[in-house]
Amino acid sequence: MTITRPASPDSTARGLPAPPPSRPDPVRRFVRFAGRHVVAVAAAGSLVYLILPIAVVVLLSFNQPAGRYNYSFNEFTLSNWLNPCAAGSMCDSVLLSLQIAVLATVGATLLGSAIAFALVRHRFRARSSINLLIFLPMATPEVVMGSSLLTLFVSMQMPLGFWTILIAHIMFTLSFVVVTVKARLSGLDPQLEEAGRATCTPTRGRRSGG
Amino acid sequence: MSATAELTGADRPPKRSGLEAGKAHRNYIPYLLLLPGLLWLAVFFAVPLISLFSTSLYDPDGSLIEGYRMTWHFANYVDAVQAYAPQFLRSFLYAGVATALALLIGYPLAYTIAFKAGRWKNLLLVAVIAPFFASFLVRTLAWTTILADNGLVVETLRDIGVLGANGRLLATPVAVVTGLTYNFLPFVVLPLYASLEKIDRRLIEAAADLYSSSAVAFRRVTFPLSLPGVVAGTLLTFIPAAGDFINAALLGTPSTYMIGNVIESQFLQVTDYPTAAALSVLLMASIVILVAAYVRKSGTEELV
Repeated sequence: MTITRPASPDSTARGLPAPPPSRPDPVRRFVRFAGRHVVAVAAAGSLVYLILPIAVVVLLSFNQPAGRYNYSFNEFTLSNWLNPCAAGSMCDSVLLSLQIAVLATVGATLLGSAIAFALVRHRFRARSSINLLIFLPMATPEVVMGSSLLTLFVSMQMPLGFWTILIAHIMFTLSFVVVTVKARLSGLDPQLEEAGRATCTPTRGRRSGG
Repeated sequence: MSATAELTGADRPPKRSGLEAGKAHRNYIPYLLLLPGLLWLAVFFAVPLISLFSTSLYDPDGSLIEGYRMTWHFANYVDAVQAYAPQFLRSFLYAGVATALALLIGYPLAYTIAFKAGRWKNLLLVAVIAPFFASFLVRTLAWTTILADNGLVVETLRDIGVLGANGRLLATPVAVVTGLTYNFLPFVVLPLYASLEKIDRRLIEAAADLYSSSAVAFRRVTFPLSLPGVVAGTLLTFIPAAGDFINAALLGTPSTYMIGNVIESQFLQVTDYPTAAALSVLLMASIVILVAAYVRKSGTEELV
């Protein structure tokens, strides 16, 4: 067993010249760099925190699990990638996810943009109560919205499945569309649309200018 | 204006004088635009909430099979609070800690992307959004691997003495808060980035011209101007985190369960609908009150 001693006290004890100050050892150089760029180093740390779980998922996708659970790396394999549809109804589920996602995106974007447009460009009564109705779904935890929808569907004796999932997803995301589109629209100069209306037909003016 | 609106307006007999008629039929348009979306929210958000509220007042002696009787049983709320007060407090504690941590971790990242990233900006933004490309569940499960008892993190912490020889991270509050912070971090970084990006650099330069140190310039100029992002980010983290049950279920134990876990199991396993509904209403009410107070105090209208 060897004992490694810290380098610099040793060398000074032997009377050797100290290393030139312009080239400190890597650790100290890193510390000095980190001191000068605290924010960037913290940001890099945050990024590692964000990416780490995905890296783990990618790594485990090449794993041959020892038991039922895929929690620790056991043996390298490509089998998971060669037949991704092998696991039960995996591919059906992915397809269903994509269908729901596409339809929910289209539905929520259409409904939400229309609301945002009305709120930004038109003045009418009941604005504040409409704003409240938009805000409440965002302030409600999903578990509450999901469970209340469940009681509605159960009491209406609606079969749970594709359509109930889609309905719920559009409802969850609608408010976020309204808020985002509203922020964009209110930053947009209405004169741009006026100009579009002056040069094109009304519908085309809205599509490309607003 | 759209063709349908024009038609509807034209079909309507003019009620007022000829001069006002044009304005009157234009008033139809906002309602036409609002109608489908608001109807959706009314039917699938407001009505279920009302029915949830009435469920919370049902006679608790009923069951899903026999049906429930409406008895205005307000005692459901008292029972629910008495039985599940610890889970309630834990939810707000974990969500609060996770929100504060996400802000601490997310701010440097958003700041770097907005001010220092240069040509790496877009790549870094993609990296922030990247977690969304994997499922919430899969990402949370990945933390069970990272924090596992024989994993690198736990062994390092044991070696340097932060954890005892048998100390563990998985199935502790630390794991749950780590998961919560991680899962909602992009929701802090993105609004913060949007706020920081909008700041006029000349204001910060002006602070430097007036002999302010960079720390003071940050405290007096940059940070106050990024407050809309701070408020939006903290709300987007706190609200879902307080109701979350996935992190506590996958990374914790029953002793770290949050109110979301109770609601989920009361609805789906115990099927005690009145208690579950009472808990849901309480959770929603407390979050809405907290959020309204916070938004008023921070004085921003940006989110709504």
